[in-house]
Amino acid sequence: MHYLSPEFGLVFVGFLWLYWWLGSARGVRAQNLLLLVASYLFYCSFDWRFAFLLLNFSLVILALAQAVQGHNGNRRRWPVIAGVVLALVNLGIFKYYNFFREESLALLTPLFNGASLPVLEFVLPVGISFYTFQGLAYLISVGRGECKPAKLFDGLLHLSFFPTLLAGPICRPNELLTQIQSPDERKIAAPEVAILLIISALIKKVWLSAWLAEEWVNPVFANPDAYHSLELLCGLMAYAWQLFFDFSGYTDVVTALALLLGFSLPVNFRQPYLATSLSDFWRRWHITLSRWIRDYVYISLGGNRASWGRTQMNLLIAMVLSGFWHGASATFIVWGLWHGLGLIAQNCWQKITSFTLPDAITQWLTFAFVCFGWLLFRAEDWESVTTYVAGFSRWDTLPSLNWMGLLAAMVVFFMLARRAEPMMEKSAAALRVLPWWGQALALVASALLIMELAPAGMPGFIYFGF
Amino acid sequence: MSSTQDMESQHTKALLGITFASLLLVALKGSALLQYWQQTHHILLEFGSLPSASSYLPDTRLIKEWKRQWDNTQQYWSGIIDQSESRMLLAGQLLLLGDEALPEPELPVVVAPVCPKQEVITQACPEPVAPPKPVAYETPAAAMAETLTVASAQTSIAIDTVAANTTTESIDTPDESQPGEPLPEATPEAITAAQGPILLGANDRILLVGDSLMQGLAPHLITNLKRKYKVESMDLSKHSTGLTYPAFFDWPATVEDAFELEDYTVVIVFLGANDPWDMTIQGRYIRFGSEPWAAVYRERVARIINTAATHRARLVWLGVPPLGREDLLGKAPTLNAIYAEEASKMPLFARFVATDPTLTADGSSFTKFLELPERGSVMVRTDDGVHFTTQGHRLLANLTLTQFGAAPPAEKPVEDAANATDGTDTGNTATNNKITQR
Repeated sequence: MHYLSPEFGLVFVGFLWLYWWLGSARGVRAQNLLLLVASYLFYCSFDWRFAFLLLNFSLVILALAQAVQGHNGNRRRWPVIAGVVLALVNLGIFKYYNFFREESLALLTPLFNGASLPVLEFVLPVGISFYTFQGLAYLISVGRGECKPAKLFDGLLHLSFFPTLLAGPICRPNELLTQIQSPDERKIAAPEVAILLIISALIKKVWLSAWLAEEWVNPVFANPDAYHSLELLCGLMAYAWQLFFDFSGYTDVVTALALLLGFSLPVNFRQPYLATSLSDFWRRWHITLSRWIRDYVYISLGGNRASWGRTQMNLLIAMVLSGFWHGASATFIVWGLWHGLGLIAQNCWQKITSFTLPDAITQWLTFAFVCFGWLLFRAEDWESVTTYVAGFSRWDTLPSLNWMGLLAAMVVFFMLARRAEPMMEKSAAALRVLPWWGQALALVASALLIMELAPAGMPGFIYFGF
Repeated sequence: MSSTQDMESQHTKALLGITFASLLLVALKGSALLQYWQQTHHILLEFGSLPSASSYLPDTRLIKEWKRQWDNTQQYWSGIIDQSESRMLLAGQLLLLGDEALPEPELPVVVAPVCPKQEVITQACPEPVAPPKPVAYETPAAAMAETLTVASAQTSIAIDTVAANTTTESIDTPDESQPGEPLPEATPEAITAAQGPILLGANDRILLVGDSLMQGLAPHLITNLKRKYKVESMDLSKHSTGLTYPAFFDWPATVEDAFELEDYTVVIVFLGANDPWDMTIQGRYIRFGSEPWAAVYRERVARIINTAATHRARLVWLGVPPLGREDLLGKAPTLNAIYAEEASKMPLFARFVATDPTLTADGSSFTKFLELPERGSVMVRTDDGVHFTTQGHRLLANLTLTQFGAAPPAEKPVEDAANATDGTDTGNTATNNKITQR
């Protein structure tokens, strides 16, 4: 079941009544228990073995967190180290084994004739990258004394909370865990914001992202040879916006789900394409991942406390790891490297000169740099990157896509991005004054309109099996 | 206490709002929901069909008039949008390439109809077809609008030379060449010749048809076919489609429509992953694999093959490889048997290419990893047990490419014993009777 599927929507609505009834009848602890059961059932709907793996991971992390506190009040270090190693090995086996296997075979074969490593058929458990990082954040926080070890059920729920289970946001313990532990009665802080977020998610994911994918991204990336240089550029920009709409639309919907359950989740996107520098970009794009990498990789490596050169090295390592986290492929590593080198180049510039370009120019430079990064992000292999890049010199093909229309859409997207926050606030205020049925009608009207505008109507936006 | 009550009433209102919205959406989009349900979970809900939004309205004259006006308005706006889009496209082309972007008014090619040889004459000699007049366009937009019609008017007027017919069932495909015209005879010689590589030249156009299996394969095919034979391909593949649920997506009709617009010479079909499910036909439940199921499915496969054959296009039907997903295990052979059998009924045009030998170690059972001579063991299938990795796509693309060969550059008339050529025909054998003609 996926968050934007009709079956999830209908089950969730029924679940909400049960959840809030339980809240008023039995209190927060009963609600937590219900959430825990629901989260595991939800995960089982993908594959029961995934749920088993998650339970196993959570129990190990929670047990190690308990072991941090020594008898004499000292905090032990070994449980944290053991936890980090175990979690990474677990992630490595399920996500990276085949990558390492093929790469190391390629290296070994010339040296040892007939070198072989066993073939293991692993299915990547959905969400493993996210809950691994959330679990590590918790364990390290306990190790640093920032939070106390959680009780069993609270800890299990923290790592399996179904809105954040599949693709984040990656919460710190002081964000989600404290809300789970709080004995105060829960409330839906702002139902109109939840409705607004659902509408925003539908616009971004069902309409805009699908439209960009169908009209531009899929055809251009499928056969870059057939397109004019300008079309390839437009296709790349379209892909950049598609990624943003897709992921931030997704985050909107999970934030709305959490709000309706009485939780607030950390912000994950803040108009990333308005960034005026690469470091600014990473403060706006997938924020919860960026800060995880900063807190637990970059700072653990020494951050900027050592020499300038060492700082750049730490930066590069952190970015490459961030790239590798996204997927087990050499292109993701190169993507991380691209951003790492970009950040270093930016730091060098700042070290050499105090001259600053106007914001409008730096914004476009940043966007262009990020777009080329997305080319690596999307590519399956090197050949597809080189084919695409080679196409930038093709000026004599007759364009077959409406590139002027796309450029106009890009201008609109950038303009809307600038006004997004005040627009959301005003819309929320307008919704707030409506009665409950007025809010419902607003949601229905928007949903119907979006389904009309979306490329494939109602069925198109759902993740089908194939 | 009152704050608790406030809070509770707020919950209730929020829940009421969300519930009301969900129910309203189900009521308005019920039929779309059922369709989605059937498509995704392959569960047939026996509600008949849920009402759509418009069925709630009373059937009065005023409402009918409103509906009509609403439809007109919608058509008007979509027309305006389409028009402005095509204008923008042309403007973009003109900006980049200047006058070169203007579509050239194509000079008409006069195709002299030729009478078949005496012994096979079955019908009167066709009248010469008047070529479209060359047009001088006043505006670029006018030229733009004309392009499509000029292109379709240009489609070859294929005149068949052989009377005998292998078609087993008639199809009412609108065929711009010669409706009802007999297909060439499948003599043993012609069949042997048809089993050789399909010859491709720069003028050929390839149509790619399929579901997400084809979506992954298509980019590899398009690039390779273009590099090797300089042929252009049209990829129509669409995920989640197949032949089981024509209400959701109708492939036979789509292929017919595609031939209306463009004169394809080769069709490559790769689908089936969404098909091994039960169907309901006119309220009757038909289990996958049963005889009635196979009959319905077979007819749909045959329609696609026949469309290609009537347009003298060669068709390559790629078999579904073994599927590794639990609910699909062992279902591919049933589909492949139907594809192979239907293709064998049109041996001059269609061929079935089994993918199992390429994608399995033992020739029949699903495997995620394959031992490749140069690379050792590599992953060829993705975790879902259905789709392919890049490596798998490469293997499939290579397999498909073995079906093709380069057309000889200079085409000489070839007298073929099995094929009564008409003398003006260029290198026309039954093997590739359309491909080498063009």
